[in-house]
Amino acid sequence: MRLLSAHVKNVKLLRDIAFEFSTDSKRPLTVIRAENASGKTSLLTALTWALYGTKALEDPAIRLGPAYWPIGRPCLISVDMQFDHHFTSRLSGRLTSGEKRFRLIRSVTETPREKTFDRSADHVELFKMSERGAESLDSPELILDDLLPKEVRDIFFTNGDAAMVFISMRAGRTSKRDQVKDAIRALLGIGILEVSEDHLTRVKSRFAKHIAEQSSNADLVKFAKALEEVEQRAKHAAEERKNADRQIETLSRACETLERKLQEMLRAGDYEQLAEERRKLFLSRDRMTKIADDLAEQHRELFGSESLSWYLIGDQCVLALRELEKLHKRGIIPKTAVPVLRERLDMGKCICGADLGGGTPGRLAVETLLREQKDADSDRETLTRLYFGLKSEVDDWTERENTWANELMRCGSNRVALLKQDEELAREMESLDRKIDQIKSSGIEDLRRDFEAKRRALSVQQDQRNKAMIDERVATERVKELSARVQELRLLDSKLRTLGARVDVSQDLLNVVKETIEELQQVALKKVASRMNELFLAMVGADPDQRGLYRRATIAHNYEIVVETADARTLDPDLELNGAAQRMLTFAFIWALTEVSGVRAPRIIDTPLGMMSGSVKGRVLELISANEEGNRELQVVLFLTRSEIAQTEAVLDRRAGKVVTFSNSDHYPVDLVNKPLVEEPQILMCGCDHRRTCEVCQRRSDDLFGLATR
Amino acid sequence: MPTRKDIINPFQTSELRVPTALWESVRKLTATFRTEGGEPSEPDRTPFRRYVDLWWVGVCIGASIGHPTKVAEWHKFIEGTVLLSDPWRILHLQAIAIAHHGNAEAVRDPTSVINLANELAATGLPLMIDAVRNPKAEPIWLAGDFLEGRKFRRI
Repeated sequence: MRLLSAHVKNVKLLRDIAFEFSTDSKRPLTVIRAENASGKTSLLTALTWALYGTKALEDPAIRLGPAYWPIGRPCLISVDMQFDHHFTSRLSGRLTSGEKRFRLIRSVTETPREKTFDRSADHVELFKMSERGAESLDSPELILDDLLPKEVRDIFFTNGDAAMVFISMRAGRTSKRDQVKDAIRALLGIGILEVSEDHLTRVKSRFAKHIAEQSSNADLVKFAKALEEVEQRAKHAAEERKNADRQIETLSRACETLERKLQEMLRAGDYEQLAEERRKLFLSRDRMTKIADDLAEQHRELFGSESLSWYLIGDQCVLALRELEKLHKRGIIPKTAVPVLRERLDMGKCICGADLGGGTPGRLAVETLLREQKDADSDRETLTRLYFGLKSEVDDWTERENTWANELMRCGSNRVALLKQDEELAREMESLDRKIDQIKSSGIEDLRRDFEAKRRALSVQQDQRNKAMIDERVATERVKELSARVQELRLLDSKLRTLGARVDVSQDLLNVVKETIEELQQVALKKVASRMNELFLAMVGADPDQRGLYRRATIAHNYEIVVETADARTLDPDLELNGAAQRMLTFAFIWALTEVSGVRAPRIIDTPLGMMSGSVKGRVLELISANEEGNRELQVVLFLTRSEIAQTEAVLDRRAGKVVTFSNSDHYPVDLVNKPLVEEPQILMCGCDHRRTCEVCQRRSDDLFGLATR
Repeated sequence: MPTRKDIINPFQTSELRVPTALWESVRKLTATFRTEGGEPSEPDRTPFRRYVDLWWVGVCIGASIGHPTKVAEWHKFIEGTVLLSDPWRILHLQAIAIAHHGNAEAVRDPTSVINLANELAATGLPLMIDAVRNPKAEPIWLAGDFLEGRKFRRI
């Protein structure tokens, strides 16, 4: 199978995301770059659900649709995928091969209620695409199961954390072996043998029951009944143990996630320090508010200013001055004649030299003139004042005609600049508040409470598992004892010989089936162990810190993964390997499983490179994308964070055929730089590859990764 | 030569008026009214600090257009004493009167100067009030754009 495209609608925050997968066999990597909580797991869920249905969801009781979807409003969720499948078949004795193209559409409707939700049955349509068009196929689930068996689902669709289950101590030693055994059993595709095993067990029990019913020997009846009961008890205990193991696995994973979140919160910063930063920001904003208020007042003062008056009616003042200048030229203004005439009367002599002494005609004429001037004096004084007042202003008005407009523009620009600064401070404040909120007791306490509750539940399950294990062991021992006793008594009763023979035959057949399964598993185990070893050594060889430390990694007959050191010591990977080596080992194991399974399907891995160093990450990417055999269906889909990508860019340049970036709109303004143009929280997709960033995906930490802006 | 300090206010007892129909709008655009009413008087919403500031802008706009408007009902909002707080307004008022009549004799009667000013304000104020009525922006920015454009000069 080779994926071509996917269009996801309304799965969690993936509201409407469509993209294509790389189909270039020389560049088989498709990379979805996304930070934490940016849709990686949602996409993994969407793809798994599309191919395997609701049963494949980690917890079907959790909504598949967006969490914020309004109560009572139906939400249509869908995934529309296209893929190719390379087939080989024998027709009329001849081997033929070819490629078929399919389109798969899976949809479901979820309606949120107050505390729960309603979910309709899945609607699945599978079409065979050809030049003739799309042909709808019957029994799409059966066809899909044939193309991508459900047993290998967890191997082909996995994530770095979940893969740790094979070596992690949280599951306990027995459970770890079971996980490895189950994984290998799953990839063998031996469903028929497993059904046979189950069937033969039931047949044997039925014969044993007949013996107990038909025997005349009271002891035999008693022991046979006891055996049946103990077998049931052993079976029940085994189921209880497995069930507890599953619960432990789920709870452990939840505990790890919560623990990680708690750590992230604590790492988000020192509360005191953040509070101090916030206080400083608050003071800055306070100062800025005062400046802004002053500027606004200045802005308003402009509307009552003299400069505005000049700006609006400066030309009128010029006209008025021209009128006054006419009076000036005519000598009507300035009002200077009266004081001069009075002075001359006092002196008794005119400027022209005429006598202005008492009773002279000259004095009489001047006195008459002074009386006439008195009435006009007030007006002339007003005009004089106006003339000189305007003259001094008008002279330089032409030079400052636009003073008011310039002041207005300057004031406006200052206010806008201040507003921007204030917005920036507000953003910083919001960012700080979010960090503080993360740390605030409610968040941490809620998480701690949740964490403690999960831990208690985990402890209960561990007790139950231990109890079930003891029950299973005791019952199994008792089964052996009773079986032997029943066997003895049965042989004494000749009537039961035929029935006894049937029990023996069914037991023999059961043994054959069990041994066959075990044999097949051991063969597969060797292949997986061998390939795992190759990959592991290639990976650790790329790590300068670990090179030469290990001789080999293997899987023992009891399905336990062990690592041998160069000086022949055997290490428990869980306790004696560091985090990076553990990651490499689990990755090598998973990858070996996919290769040995022979199933040709895309391998989709969420966050696989965590904790690995740059050189190891590059080596891992080289190993998983190498396609020396030219396998057309080799396809690897990786969900990587920026820090996982760091130092692997050169490998991705060569091996990644498609790279897209997911961003969570809700990460603005804490992590995203630019405000997303969407109202509701959702995952945004852009075409930025591992070297670039754009307005949609640009994060505040991008400088650390040397990304170029598109 | 007279200085600003020497300016005598001939309009001491004159009445500064606006058309009664516009009075409510005038009040809402001034900080004086907002403050009196106990409302916040942010500059952005009240671009004019006092009634006389807005009245004066109305006078200037009316003078630029050159058409006084006869009004039946006036509202007196203050006396001419207020003009002495900004003495340049006295000179500009007289200049407007001389420019309007084309004759320096126009300043002889202070009452007619003020009457002319009131009528010019009646022309300019509706334009100013109308210009700041757009709900998409704060009045102070609209007022700035309107006055800075001086488009009324071409009306």
